[in-house]
Amino acid sequence: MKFASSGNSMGRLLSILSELEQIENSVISGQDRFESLNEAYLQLTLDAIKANEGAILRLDPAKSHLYIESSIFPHPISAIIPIMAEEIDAIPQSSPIHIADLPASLTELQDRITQQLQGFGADVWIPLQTDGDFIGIIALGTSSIGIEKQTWVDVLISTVANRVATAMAYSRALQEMRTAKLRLLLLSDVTAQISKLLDVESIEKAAMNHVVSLLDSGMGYLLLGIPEMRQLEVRSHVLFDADSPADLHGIVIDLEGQEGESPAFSILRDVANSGISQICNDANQVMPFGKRNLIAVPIFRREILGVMVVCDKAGLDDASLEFVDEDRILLEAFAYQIGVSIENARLYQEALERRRLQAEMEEAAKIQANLLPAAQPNIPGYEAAGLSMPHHDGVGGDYFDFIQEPDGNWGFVIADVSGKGMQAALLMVMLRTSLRSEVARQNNLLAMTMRLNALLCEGSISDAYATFVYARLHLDTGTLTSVNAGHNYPIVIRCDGSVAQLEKGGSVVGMYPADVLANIAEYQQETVQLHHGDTLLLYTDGVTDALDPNGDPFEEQRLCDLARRIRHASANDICTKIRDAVTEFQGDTQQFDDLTLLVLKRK
Amino acid sequence: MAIDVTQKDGVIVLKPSGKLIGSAVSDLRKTIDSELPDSGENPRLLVDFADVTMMDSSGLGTLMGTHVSIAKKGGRIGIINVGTNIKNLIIRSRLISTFEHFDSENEAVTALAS
Repeated sequence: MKFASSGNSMGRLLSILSELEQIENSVISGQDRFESLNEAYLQLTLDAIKANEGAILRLDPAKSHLYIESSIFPHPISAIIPIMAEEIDAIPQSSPIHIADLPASLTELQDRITQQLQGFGADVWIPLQTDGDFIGIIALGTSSIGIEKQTWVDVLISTVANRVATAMAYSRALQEMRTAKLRLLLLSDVTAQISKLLDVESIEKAAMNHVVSLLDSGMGYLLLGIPEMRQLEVRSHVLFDADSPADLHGIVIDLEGQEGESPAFSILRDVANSGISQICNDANQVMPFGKRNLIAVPIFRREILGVMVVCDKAGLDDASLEFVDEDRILLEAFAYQIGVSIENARLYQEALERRRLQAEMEEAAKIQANLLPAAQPNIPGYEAAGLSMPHHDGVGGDYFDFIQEPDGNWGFVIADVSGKGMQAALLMVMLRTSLRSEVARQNNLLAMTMRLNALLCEGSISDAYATFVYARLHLDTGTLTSVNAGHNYPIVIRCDGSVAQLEKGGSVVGMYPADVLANIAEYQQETVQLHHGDTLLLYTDGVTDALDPNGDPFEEQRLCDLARRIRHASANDICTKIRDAVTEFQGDTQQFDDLTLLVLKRK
Repeated sequence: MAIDVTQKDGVIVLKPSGKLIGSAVSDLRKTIDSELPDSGENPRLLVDFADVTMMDSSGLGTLMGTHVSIAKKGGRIGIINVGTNIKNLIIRSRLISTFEHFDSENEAVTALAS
């Protein structure tokens, strides 16, 4: 053995191994990163062969060049050495490699190394490998003791090289873990910020800005589903790369699929349809979204809301990197949070819209309430009362009124307009205005009803109509003349308890023009005499159609029976007693229609 | 709401099911509006109420609106299988003569197609 000429060789060997152990303990304990100890490793290797110069050359992640991880030279050197894939494959597995034995396919690489390292001529290369993958070279200068093959020195430096490679891999893994931890911290910070946003558009933009940065990528897109159309639409994008493809905002992808389209569209469609993420590192498949690679993950809630796409992952010096499983896990976690935020924002916007509609309905309810008489009329010899209880939404279509006519007689009206909400409120206002205007013109009731029908037909909303009863009380005679346009039959309860329904009448107003109406049911008027103690009861179908918990209606017969029993009560009490009876009849059943009553009683 | 649409001897037969009230009514109107343009001159429409459990003023409004559109084109509208509550609503609104009422689908189709 050459080294055997040195009497201290065994001592030096032990010393090197001891030092190696210390360095490794330091790396494994996490106290120091490999980067801070690599020079110690290199020095140790140089010591082993008594050489003065050397470098650890590390393969970059894109496998396109070697860079100096650490070096011991008389002067600092910075260098990037290009390396071909064939050269990586040609580097022998056996270690170390004496330059004299270098295969011909590697001589160009050796020349490049020598040139880049300013004439440094390595005598020995020690390839560094982990799991069979080449990760770099330790290039060592001339040994002062000379190295021959198959000596224990070879074994020693191979051992050191293996340890260096392991330490490098360990260090890189640790670094990746730290990067992943950092990404997760950033992710939780970002999602906390985004969860405070309350409109979908802001969420889309913030999400894409952050996620493209987190994944060290050049661009990203957020596509949201248009469910009824079975389509995905590009809603937001971030392009960090100045050389990005054309603006894709608003581009729509049909989820049913089309032939002859870009493969990238198929990838995104598959993700949306299957809910499974995809990574594509094939540059030919990712246009027009990216230029190098892409990762696409679904945005889930109860169903798939959309797809998040990030493209063109890049390392330092813009070197292209591949998307890996860690990226997928991170992006899926992020997309989940974005899904929650988008859904929350949508719910919030819906709640706002509901509140706006609610405010509109409350306004409509106020308008309606103001249309109803504020007080009972003061009619000598009579008492009149009315009440209206809107259904559960608060805006119904019922109306009642007491109108003093120009000649001093009184008119009593009850009406029900079709539909509910704003449409009903509008129609009710039209009916009330038209009716009061017609009454002021002192038309006879039939002419008045025809005029009302014509007015409502002209101005009415399609498929909307009104029913009403107008009863005119002649104060001098106590006679009551009424007209009924498709409304519930008025009930007259005599003082002696007999009950009669006024069934004459024509069809509803606001639907059919006069000529058609003439063929359906012409209006007729009816006259009855009110005697002392007699009562007229007008009501809407909210009374007779009210359902009990079994689904059975209140019906006219029950109303007639009740009216007969309570006929001696005041007009106001008759109204409230009927309302209470209907409410009790309904039990827990929701009131789906308005309930309106008008009572006129001759004292 | 679900609305079954069939054609028999040139008569469009609509069979809605459920409650013909409030906003559900717009479904019926949409179906009718999409069917009528294809029905040519003198459209014939038959509405089967067998599966309608409830109808309110909005539902009746739609029926009348449809009647108006069909009458303008010289067509006819018939109804079958009308339950007591819906019948009462139609009678009370004095519309019993507006909609031709039949006892069976066959009878209605024969009469309307003539």
